[in-house]
Amino acid sequence: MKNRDDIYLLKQFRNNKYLGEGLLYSYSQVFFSDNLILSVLILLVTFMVPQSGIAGLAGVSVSLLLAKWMGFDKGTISRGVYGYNTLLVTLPLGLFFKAGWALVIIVLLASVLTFFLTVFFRNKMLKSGLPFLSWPFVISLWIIMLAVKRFASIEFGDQSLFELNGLYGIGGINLVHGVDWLNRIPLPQGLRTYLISLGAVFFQYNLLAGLAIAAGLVIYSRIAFLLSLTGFFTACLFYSAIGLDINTLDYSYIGFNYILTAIAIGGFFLIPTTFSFFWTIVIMPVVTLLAVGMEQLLAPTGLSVYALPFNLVVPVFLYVIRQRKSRSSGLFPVVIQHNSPERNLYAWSNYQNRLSRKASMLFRLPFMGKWKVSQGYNGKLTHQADWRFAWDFIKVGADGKTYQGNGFNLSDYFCYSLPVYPAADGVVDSVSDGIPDNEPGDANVRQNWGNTVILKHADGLYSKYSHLKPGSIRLKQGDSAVASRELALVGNSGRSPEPHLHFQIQAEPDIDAATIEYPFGYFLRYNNGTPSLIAYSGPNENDLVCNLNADQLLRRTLHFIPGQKIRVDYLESPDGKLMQSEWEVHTDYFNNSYFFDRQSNSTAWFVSDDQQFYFTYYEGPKDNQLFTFFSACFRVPLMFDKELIITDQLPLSVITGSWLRWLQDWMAPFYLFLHYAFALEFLNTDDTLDPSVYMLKTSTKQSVFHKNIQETEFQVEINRGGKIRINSSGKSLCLTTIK
Amino acid sequence: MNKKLFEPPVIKRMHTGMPGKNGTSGIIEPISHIDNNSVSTLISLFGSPLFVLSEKTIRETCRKAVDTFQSRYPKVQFGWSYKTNYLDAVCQVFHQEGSWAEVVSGFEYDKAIRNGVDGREIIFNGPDKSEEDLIKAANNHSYIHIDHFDELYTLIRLAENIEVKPRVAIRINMETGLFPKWDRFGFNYENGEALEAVRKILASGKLDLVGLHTHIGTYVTSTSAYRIAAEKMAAFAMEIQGKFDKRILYLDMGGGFASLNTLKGAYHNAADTTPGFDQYAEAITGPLIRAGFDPDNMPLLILETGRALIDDAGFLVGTVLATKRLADGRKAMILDFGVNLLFTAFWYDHMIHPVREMTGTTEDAVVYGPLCMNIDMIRDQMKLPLFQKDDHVVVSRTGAYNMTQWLQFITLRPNVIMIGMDGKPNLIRKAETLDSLVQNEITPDHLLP
Repeated sequence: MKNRDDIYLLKQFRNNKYLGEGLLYSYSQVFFSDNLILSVLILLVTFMVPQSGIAGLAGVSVSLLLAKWMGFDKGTISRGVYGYNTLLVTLPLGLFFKAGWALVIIVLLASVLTFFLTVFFRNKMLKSGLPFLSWPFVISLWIIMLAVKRFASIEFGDQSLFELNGLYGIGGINLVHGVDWLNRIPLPQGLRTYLISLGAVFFQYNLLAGLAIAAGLVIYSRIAFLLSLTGFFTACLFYSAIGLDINTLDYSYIGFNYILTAIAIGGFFLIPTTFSFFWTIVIMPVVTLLAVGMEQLLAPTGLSVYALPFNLVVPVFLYVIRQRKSRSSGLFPVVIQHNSPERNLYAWSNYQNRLSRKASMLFRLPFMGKWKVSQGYNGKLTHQADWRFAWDFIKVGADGKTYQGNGFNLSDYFCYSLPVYPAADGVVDSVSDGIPDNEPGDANVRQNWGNTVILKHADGLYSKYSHLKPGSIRLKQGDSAVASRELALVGNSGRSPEPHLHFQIQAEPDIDAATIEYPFGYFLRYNNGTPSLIAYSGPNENDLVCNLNADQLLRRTLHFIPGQKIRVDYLESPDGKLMQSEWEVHTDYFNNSYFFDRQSNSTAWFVSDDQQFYFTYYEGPKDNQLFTFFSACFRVPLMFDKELIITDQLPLSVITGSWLRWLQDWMAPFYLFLHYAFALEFLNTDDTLDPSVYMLKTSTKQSVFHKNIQETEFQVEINRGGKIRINSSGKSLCLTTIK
Repeated sequence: MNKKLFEPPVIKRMHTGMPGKNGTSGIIEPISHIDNNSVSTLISLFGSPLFVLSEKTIRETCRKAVDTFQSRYPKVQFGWSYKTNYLDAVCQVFHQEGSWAEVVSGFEYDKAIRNGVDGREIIFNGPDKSEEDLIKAANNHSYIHIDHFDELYTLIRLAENIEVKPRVAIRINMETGLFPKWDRFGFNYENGEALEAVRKILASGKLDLVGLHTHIGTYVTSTSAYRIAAEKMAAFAMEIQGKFDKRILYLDMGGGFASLNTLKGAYHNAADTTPGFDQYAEAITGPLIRAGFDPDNMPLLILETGRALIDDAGFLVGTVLATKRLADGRKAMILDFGVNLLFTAFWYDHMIHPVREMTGTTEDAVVYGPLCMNIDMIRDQMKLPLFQKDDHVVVSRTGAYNMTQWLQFITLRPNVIMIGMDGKPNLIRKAETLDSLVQNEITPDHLLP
């Protein structure tokens, strides 16, 4: 019986774990963080006045239980989203009022009110894509402060006045002495005010609270801490410049507005860059203006502005940012929130380097074999003005000439009559045929496009193939075009002095439509005979290019279906025992696929299209098998070519627990000296005709100022039938897809 | 100013003849240099006669051929036809360019292995494969192209005792509109023999059928024959897939592409009749692309063309031994090489070029080799400039078959050099000596001198 009870309790505990998490993270959420250490530090700080701490804890608990009871999303609850406003409202209640039933009731009502306001503001603001920040806190506390003036049964307490009494209660005389000693340290006035403002976020006006929170901030995010300093001291400078008294910050509740605004704008809702720091500095006087102005406005009511300036400035600024037409100003809103300025920055810069140019349609080169680009974007001859985003392709012989013999006949030209293929599946939008081929050297400027096919791939996305051979177009208007089925032959019709294929992407179906800049999916570019894989880009003039022809084995083995499970057999050390674990393949509602390792609670996001398998992000501990798979197969082209060498960059956020990374964080918005490179080459296969295994060598390299500091090599074996073996120094694992 | 050349006066009958495409001009372009190496210097260094191969021409021709097919078909593999020229250096150039090896005898098979070719990249053709050859090829995972039922039965029997499942293809002959029909090799397509062979292979369960092979002829100038062959091969592969649920991994379309040498008795010059690689490629790949194979999993297209890849890269350089006038008044020229080295002279009207600039005065002449046999005639009639004793001559387009079919008859085989990519000549086969000739002879003791 006892056993069953234990299990029942365990189950209860597990089922309600999210409430505990929500409770803790409600504390760090105030700084947009999900850092456990920061949460605990703040929790301790609130208990410096025990009654305030208890009120806060009680308030958050009430809100979360209410959220659970009313059936709100567990994930949202566990992140502390529904708790932090209540915390901010109930902390001062415990601080200002005397203990008693009246206080209990007020805290309870405040929690309910704040929770309702949280839900309301969250959903209203979410719709316009803006954060609701601490609006519920500001409004709730105002209402309560106004209301309690009429409540006769509630009395103001003296805890906030006699802080040391509280400290004595918790930590005895030693704590009191400690705090006293700390207060007497001769700190510069600005720094003292900064620390007190940090404590003031949780209504604790002392250096110890400030120091604890500052330490927590550094642990949570170096960039956030740097931003808090930047914001606060910019405001200070403005104060002295404008003739405001800095000391007012000491006893008003205004100082933290600068800190929170700086973190929000400089690094949390925007990617932390030099520009975001610049704007943080620019925006601080505005916050000051609002703070002082609102203070004057509210003075007759006796209310404080609390976080009102922060709540006004941040959403307005983000709204303004979002209305821009161009992103040239260097401010980038965070799209996928990783809950830390560092992680946001590293994920974003990795995305920026690797995938930002990826388009929704992965176009293939419209031909087979190796061709040369005779004219690219902004070509000198004809690719200009509205038609500047186009390519001309030709074939060249060993001597660089485009023809054999004397070139007097069309058939002398290597590319003449070669098949043209659709760049992607689509529908034939229009066909022009019947224009005769020109003699070499001649050009038909009247029907300048010559015989042309325009394919529609999506609304506003068309591809155009021009100068085709008359009578060679195999499809007619309305036909489906399949990328693997021949479209026409290269000709010399229209404005074409020698046979070539003109290819362009346009947004409109007309033959004269303007071109748009649109990349190809993947292609190989040959440099002195050595191929390199180019992704999400267009070839340049004179490039020798060729399509990537995907290999069936690689494609099938590296194709993972949501719902699949992957068995992982591994040996931790050469003489260790054989272990086993299991991963799951999921696809979320944004269509992002990922492997999830329940055992270590780690997630690796990946993409597998027709031509490439690659990881995009990793979250979780680094000492497990999923991370080994992530590093070893970070990017695998689905094509076997012994001459191909693939290189890429891993996101820096996957480096943890390294002092170098810690050092990098401080200057990450301005300069990256730390790099995490990935390289891959194909070694061998067992059989060229009918391969059953491919051997690859991959490696990851960490470097500081381009000097290698750590290198890991992996031998990867990709087998037919869904088996992947990875060997690295002392590690060996085998993945088997369970059908 | 150079001293004017003296040419003895001749009296010749007026004969305008039929003007060809290029009129009746008799000037033959001299070949004074091969890849920037002076022919006279090469002769002084390596002797006369001398075979000269151009590595640059081999590579460029090979790349051109591969590129021409790859621009029309996604999976293309060339197999170097060893019998065309199996000098190691030549084979290695092709292997470096990515070619597999296509061999037709046990000795050629061993040579390919010796050249470092992976067994999985050797195609074993031909009607004569010994049991040892078959076992060796099967164990090396090479592709054995079965030529006849007897070979099929032998292989099924041998497979019992071989650990690996031999990988096989069948050679198919078919009606492609060519005459004479090459029905002596392989199984016939039209009468159902080929299907029968496939059925037997699959029913035996002992062999792994991976491909189909055809080779419709040699020096085929008709691309339509290849088109028909490709259509039939694709249809047959689809039929096998449909009937037996067996995917054919490759279609070997063989070789037989013509080179630019003019066949004896041909009315037109070969340059006017021989199709280019692009025309062959168009004829072969068109039907395969449109046959309805899974576009992500097309069968590999294998080509074994030999002649068209190497003929242009070979030159036979020699010296005029004498000029004379025959009893009937015709002019005759005797060279230091004949059909012993230029075996293809039996098929082609080879072009004989002077090395130095000569006047346009030509005279019909017979060109003989050095053998004291009547058959040793390189050209029975050719309009030749007025050569003199010790003049050097160059026969172009001799890369195919000559260095494999040459005869060690009356004379010894000369040096073979290859001019490398750096333009420097490399000796790739030393001239034979008396020792190399007699090294395998055994004289019984009582006959020793």
